[in-house]
Amino acid sequence: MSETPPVMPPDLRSAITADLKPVKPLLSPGRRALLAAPFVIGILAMPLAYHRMREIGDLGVMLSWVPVALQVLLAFGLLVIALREGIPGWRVSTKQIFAVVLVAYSLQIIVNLLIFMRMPMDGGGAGALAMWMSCFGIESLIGIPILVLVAWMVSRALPSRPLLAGFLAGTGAGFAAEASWRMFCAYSDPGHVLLGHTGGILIMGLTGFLLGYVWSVYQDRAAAG
Amino acid sequence: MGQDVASERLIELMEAYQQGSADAFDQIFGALAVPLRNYLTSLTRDRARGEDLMQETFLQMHRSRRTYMPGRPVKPWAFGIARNVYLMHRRSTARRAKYEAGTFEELPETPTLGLAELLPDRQELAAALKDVPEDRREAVLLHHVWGFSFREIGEMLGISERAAKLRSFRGIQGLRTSIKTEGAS
Repeated sequence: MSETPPVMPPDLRSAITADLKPVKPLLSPGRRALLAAPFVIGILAMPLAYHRMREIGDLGVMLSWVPVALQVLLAFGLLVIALREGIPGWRVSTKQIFAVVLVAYSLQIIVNLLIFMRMPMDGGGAGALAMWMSCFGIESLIGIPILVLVAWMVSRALPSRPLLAGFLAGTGAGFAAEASWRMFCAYSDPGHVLLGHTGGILIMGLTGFLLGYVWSVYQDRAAAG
Repeated sequence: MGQDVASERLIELMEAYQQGSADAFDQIFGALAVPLRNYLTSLTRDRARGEDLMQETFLQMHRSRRTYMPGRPVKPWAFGIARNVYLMHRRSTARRAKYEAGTFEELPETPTLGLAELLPDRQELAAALKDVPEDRREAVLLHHVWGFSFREIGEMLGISERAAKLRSFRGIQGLRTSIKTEGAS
């Protein structure tokens, strides 16, 4: 025995028929991320205009371009997952998300430790705070435009976990920014890296989380009328 | 098989709806209104609220129809929106007042896995379902009543396929225990 379908309420019908113009479906998250790629790559290359790239001769490709490429790929992965959060019924599990985040943080920390072992460069001393602030600030400058772009793309869809989507967008932007800036910052001591670089990624993730929170409050208020 | 055909048909209708077909929307409403209402009623435990949220879900589906990606199954997308509508409603309600204790009068017609023999009547199942924690109850209903695969449930709820399976399994276990306990008393 099947239930009879409810009759469509007239106000629902009139709301639908009043706005039935054709819409263009969103591209898949991967494709949208690819569309954003030229902008993201342009932003990541921005420091070239103002800074000299670090000497990578002693580091070799395996400690310079390879981890940078891997980190940028992981960052793109995080941005794709953030975009996927906006598609109802197509989320990635929380466990998988945190596994990707963990891998990205581990990679960033391990690579920086290996760089320190190969080329120790102390960023401490009297100017430590200034150096830390400088790296932190530059990473934010690189990351924020990427975060804003991805957050805007996510908000055009329908994220059901906006805080998580924001966190992912921020963390992805932070990792991408750090991958770029690492090729310019010559200081490699763990204190500097953890505070100025890893800390920058954390703050970017937190900023995305807060953006998600603001968005969700706005949405809830709109829903409550 | 029948489900696949229905799913293919829904995909065609959804694509037509994105192109502006009112008739396609009518058919989508006809196909999804009951399962969505039942799903929302099971979440809210209140039939009238479930009905309201079902309408809100269709409005939200309309506003967000561009988020449907052609070729993908329609039901997980629609249920995902319904869940989102429910969560927004719950958050805004929580700010104003505590949840009203609702009745769990609405139950789907379809018998659940292996439970048909256990069940003297639907009211008893409804009472037993009340005792099952919300996340497990949701997984049980999504799988055994509305026929979603565990993978689809995982993608809807943001959990792994294994976790969806586990929630459903534990929900069924809880349901069995609850029915046995009630039967014995």
